[in-house]
Amino acid sequence: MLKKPLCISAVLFISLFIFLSILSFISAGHDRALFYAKLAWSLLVSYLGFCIYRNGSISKYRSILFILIAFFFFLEFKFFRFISFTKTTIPPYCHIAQAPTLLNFLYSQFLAITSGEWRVWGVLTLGFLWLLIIFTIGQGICSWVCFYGGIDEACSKIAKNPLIKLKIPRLWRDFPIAFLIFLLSVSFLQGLPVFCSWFCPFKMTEAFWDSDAVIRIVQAALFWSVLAGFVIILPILTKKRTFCSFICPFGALVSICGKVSPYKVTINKEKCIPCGKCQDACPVFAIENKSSDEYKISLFCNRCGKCIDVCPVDAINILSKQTGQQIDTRDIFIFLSLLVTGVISGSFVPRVFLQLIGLK
Amino acid sequence: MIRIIFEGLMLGLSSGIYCVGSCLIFFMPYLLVEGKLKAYENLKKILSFMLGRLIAYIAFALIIGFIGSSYRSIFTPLENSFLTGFTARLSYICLIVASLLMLIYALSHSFRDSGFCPSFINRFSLTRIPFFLGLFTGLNPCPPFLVGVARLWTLNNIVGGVVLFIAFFLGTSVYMFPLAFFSYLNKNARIKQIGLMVALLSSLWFLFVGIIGLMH
Repeated sequence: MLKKPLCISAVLFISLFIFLSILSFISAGHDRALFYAKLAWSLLVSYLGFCIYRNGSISKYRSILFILIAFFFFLEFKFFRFISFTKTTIPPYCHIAQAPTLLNFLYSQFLAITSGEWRVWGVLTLGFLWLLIIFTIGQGICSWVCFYGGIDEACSKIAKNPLIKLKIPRLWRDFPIAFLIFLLSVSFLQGLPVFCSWFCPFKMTEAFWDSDAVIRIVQAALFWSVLAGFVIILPILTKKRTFCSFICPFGALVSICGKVSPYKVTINKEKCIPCGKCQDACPVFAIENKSSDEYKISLFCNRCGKCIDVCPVDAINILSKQTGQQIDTRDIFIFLSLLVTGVISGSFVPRVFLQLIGLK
Repeated sequence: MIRIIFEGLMLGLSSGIYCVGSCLIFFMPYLLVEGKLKAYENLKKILSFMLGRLIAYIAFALIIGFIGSSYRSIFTPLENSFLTGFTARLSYICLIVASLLMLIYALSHSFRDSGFCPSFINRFSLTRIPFFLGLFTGLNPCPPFLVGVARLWTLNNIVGGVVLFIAFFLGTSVYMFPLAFFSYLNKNARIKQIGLMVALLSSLWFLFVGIIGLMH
């Protein structure tokens, strides 16, 4: 663990808070209550950043933030009908749905260009925003920003130790890529969001259920098996994020596109004592055996920082691909990730908070 | 006749992307697994696949063209709707056969090293697979094909129907040739495994789609 001195941690904390506060001021408009709520949320995000820098433990504080975001997200967008909020907000654009329907989006972009119907571009602009995030923090999006990932992460935190030690062949870790290719083709072919209709365990809407009884039974069976199996039961039993590892098509897309991100988690061969602690700790099965005494970080790494935290000899770090320098690269990555997380979560968490206390 | 050729060609060219999409999901995994690194070496497989499609189109155009030209004028609306339903059912049956073919192919590859029924497995790993895939995916219930069928039904002319579908085939074939470059991706075993998984997933999916289609 690489702890930062108090002054450096404080400078990073203040910088992050200033950035997020400015954005809160701009986005809140004339709504004073919302501005204060956004300010409070920015303070919390910045404080967790301070804890990361000061204590050197990335995964612990990231996890708190990640689970909190998922909790608020589900409270607002998935359970609003049970809690009876007076006013619902527009959900952030579902990034998981975006990946398997990418070809459909590109096709609608093409149609928008040829027809001159520029309004269709709105959805696509949001799509490009997500792509921009992927290009900056890469796969970090799955462990810092994704408001769905916090659910299986929360489930994976329930048991203290794994009840089942899951060892999977590398072949199965590649399944999400195959699943993504399949979904891209089928969604384009049928002109439908096949993942949302059939496989998504996070949908709490009836819009995707088919009117035919037989089809609805199959849809429900798939929905419940993915939700119960991969989002709840397996994460509890194995302490791994099994939905993110084996199903999520967005994760697969990010792992391919994220290769352009300048940040990369690497293992220092000279320092590494092949104890295997990083491999056991990795929640997304992203550490592979290169040989019997050497490990390698695969393209599925989410930059969650857990391997960095558990490594007894500090052999794992976040490096810049260009320079290979360790100096500050990790700190820049954490800062950027917190900034993106603060901006995305700041668009709905403060509002939910205000609704919970009855101010909205 | 020139008008029919033009119609078929334009239909193929304008909707060829969808056509490739329908066939791609079956043929692309095969190319990922079996494709060679040099594009021209894959041309044989692509031509074999396209030959399968061409034969399927011609056979289909002959049958429907014959029925359309001989009996359409004396058919009652009920009989007409029965034949339309029959065409849809036939395409779903073809989808099921293509899915089963792909499923057996994917499973045979997965169990190749396991010693599980080797003669059966080797038979399905032959190069004839692309031809049969083309034959059965040719009659896929995809939108461009169904538009072609609707036009064929109103032509009342066997030769015209065959010409329409040959022109449609040529129009869509333009989009097939870039598939030869797909195999550049299969430089390592990992990509081949992904190709097999895609084959397995898509075969199961379309088997389901075919069965549901037949049920309705």
